[in-house]
Amino acid sequence: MAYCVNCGVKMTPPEKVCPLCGLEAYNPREPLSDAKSRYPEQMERTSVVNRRFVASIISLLLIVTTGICLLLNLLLVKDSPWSVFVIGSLALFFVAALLPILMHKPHPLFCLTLDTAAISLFLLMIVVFITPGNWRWYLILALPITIAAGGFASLMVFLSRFSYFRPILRLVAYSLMLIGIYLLGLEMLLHAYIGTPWAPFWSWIPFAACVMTALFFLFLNRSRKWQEEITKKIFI
Amino acid sequence: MDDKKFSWLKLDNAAKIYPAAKNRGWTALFRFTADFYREVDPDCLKIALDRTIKRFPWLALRIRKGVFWHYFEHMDGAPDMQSDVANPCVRMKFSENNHFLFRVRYYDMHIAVEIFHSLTDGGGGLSFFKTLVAEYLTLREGLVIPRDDDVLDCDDEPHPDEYEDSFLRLNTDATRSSMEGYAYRVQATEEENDFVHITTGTLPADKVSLIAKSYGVSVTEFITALLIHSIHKQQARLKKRKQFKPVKICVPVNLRKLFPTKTKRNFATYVNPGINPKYGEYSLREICKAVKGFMMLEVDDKKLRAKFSSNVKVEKNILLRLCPLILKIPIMKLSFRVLGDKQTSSCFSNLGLANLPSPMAEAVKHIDFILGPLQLNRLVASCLTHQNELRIHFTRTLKESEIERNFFCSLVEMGLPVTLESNQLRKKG
Repeated sequence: MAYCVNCGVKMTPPEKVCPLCGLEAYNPREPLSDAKSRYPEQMERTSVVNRRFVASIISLLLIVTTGICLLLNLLLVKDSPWSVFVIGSLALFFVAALLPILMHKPHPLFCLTLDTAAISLFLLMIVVFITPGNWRWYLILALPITIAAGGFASLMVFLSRFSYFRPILRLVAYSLMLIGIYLLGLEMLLHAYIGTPWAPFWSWIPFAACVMTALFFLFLNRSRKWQEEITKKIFI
Repeated sequence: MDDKKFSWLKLDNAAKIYPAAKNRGWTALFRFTADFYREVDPDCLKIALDRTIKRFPWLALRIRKGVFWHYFEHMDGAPDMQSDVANPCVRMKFSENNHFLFRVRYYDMHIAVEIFHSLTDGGGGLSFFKTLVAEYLTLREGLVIPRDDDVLDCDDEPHPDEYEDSFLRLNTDATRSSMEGYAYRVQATEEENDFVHITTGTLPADKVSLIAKSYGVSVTEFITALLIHSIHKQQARLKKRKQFKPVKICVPVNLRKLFPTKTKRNFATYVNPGINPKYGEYSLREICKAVKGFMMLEVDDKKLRAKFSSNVKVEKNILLRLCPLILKIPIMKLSFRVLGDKQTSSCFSNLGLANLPSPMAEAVKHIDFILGPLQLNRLVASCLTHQNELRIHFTRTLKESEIERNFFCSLVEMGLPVTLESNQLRKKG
């Protein structure tokens, strides 16, 4: 039997390298043994679906669909640029659903930024092709709503990295507060678009509900007894 | 079959979580193997299995979905025997196993049984495995093996006490929360190709016992303390002190030793001894002291009864019982994901002495107990002692072997001879 000079353990034949440090096992008086391993060669494979492979296939199908639609639009049904919307929708689906799977360890902030940009471009496409020249709803309504939603989501992802926001209840509480603020902002944008002065009306209701629920979660986060009581009830 | 006393069974309290928590890549499994001096005869093994399964009808079950809970349904026959594989304890797909919840495998000179945790725990599984090995050796070697409460006589009828739900019978009104804070998680790269690393260290049991005594603790406490020490070494290397988290090990406790029961189904709970290194540097002796103190306080029949009683109380809650299974499954899955393994850094299960009857002990070269990886904690340890050989198994689905190295090197530094074997030769790629 050979010893690992690095770890000091004895190795059972047919071990060729130390299982702990990977150093080659060598005993000059005993050449490497051909003893049979206790473990067979055959490996059991789990049939877990390879998500990247499936995503690649779907991406390929999207490209084919895009090409066919474009050709049909250019050669046969030429009355409107309908293929742009099909291609835009497919591109949006690709960026939101397939790209994160295809990327190796995608950063959530990067993905959110891409999603926000993709939605903004899709909306821009609607302005250009459906209401050419009418930029007002895009600039006052669509773009700020999209950027604010993406920004708030990114903010929560960013904050969740700090240990203060680690407890899930605290994270949910602050997310709810942000949603409440977002809804207030949404009503403000709607007023700006319609041209009436900003006086929050309906957005107070979801805002108040979000804040109340957030406060309840913050209380729950502080109260171990209540937390345990609720966890106990939902566990099994 | 005529000798079974039931056509279906309710899942016991400990079993309920596993069917919900399992996923496509993970099933809660544990494994026993026995190595012999001769090649395994599959025909003898098949006959032995058919005889043994009739004595253990509560293992010949499939799992079914009811409206409110999962339940077990009895099946005739036994699972088909399979060739063993290089990566033990990899997830079990029940449909590939004729819907049985355990599988029997053999290779060269050993046989192995892998059991889904819903069926039974290590104690019940060991009794089944020892009976199977006894039957096999009787047929293969012509041995006359005395039977007892552990190695059962396959000519006897199964007794209802052997498959009772002892959690239900022995629970009390006093309950005790088992909520704890999160623990440090071992940092390493996940293995990708379904490979499960098994590293086995063989040590002389008497010498380990002497070392443990010199630290004033039992063998289980000593190994637990050393595992905590080995895991904390990694934390100390990777983190600053203010980022330190508690290092805790989940140690299953066999309740059969504390309560009057004959059940062979699940009847175990767990305790989580550990240290909080934020308070300062702990030497191995101090960790041993902390683990011993914790075990003395926690491994107490009254406290353990209160602990499992709180789980039974939840199970008896009328609102929960009325909740349809379709809703229960995602809730249980999420609870297991959020709470399950996060309270501990790893798990160590010591089944103690194999206690094989005399002619059987000589015919069995090694008998091993291996835990499958947990859902989140991808490194666990287990051990079983046979003929003064204490065999510690590390199971991991992580690429790096830092924790085992810390562990076994510490034993070598204490002057203990450690002999290692592993399945690493079989890793491809």
